[in-house]
Amino acid sequence: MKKLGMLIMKMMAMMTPSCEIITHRISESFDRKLTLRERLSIRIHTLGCVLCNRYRRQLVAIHDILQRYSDNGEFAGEDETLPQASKERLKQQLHDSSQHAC
Amino acid sequence: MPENKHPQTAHWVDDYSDYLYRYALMRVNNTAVAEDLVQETFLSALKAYANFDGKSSEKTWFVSILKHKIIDHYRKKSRKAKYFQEPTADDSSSDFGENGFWKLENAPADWGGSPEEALHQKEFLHILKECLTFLPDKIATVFALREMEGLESNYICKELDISASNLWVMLHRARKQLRKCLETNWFGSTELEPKT
Repeated sequence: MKKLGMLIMKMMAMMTPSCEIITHRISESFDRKLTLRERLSIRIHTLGCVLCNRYRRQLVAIHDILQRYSDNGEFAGEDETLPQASKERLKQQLHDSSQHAC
Repeated sequence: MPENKHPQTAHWVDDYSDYLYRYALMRVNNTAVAEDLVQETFLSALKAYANFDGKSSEKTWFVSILKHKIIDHYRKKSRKAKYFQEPTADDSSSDFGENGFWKLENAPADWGGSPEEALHQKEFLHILKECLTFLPDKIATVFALREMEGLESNYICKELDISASNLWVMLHRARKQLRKCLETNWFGSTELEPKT
């Protein structure tokens, strides 16, 4: 019975657009509002296609982590700092500019 | 309102430059450009200091200026030689067979457990950052604007003068390559090798 269900889901997935098109559509779902038909095609396809379902979940996870860290400057790592010489130059420049401003 | 309209700039560089530099570097992937953007940010802040109402923190204020500088940077780049209009070559269509279904050897691998869990490990962030630097320049740019700045598609299209479908194709390729890079370098082995 379970096998029959799996078979039906696989067949339904076969009736939807190919994996190449579905992966493209999954990506677009992050960037625009998909039509109902497009959303359904993804839903039905990923029910029967374990690979595209995996792809979708992995993309969602990557999207989520980027959202979480994108506003966090520490994301780039503690090791990335502005070279000391550049800092000194910047300070001097700011100092000079603010003198002019006065 | 700050009482003193002539800002005390002495601490700006010490307190904020590293943060702003990292923020910029995440988005432009070029140390020289990132440094220039930080410099422009401070200089603009100095000029606009009279408008700083003190409602947000200085840090937030600097970041908002920097964001504008980053978008300006890309806008200038896009005007030069129609930078973003050329469709980029796609090397990833080989993931699929002629029938449009996954080739098994290129199909997404099982990341084990839930992918969300794996992505929360600290070392993973390092790999993610490296993988972002491996993205081709144009693709990395639109991806940063969309996923990191959270800008709307139509705003990006307008600023960079590209069509929506071109943008979506580029974002699709960015996600696809990023996913693949993470799989190879994090879930596959610990060796990190640039994709050329």
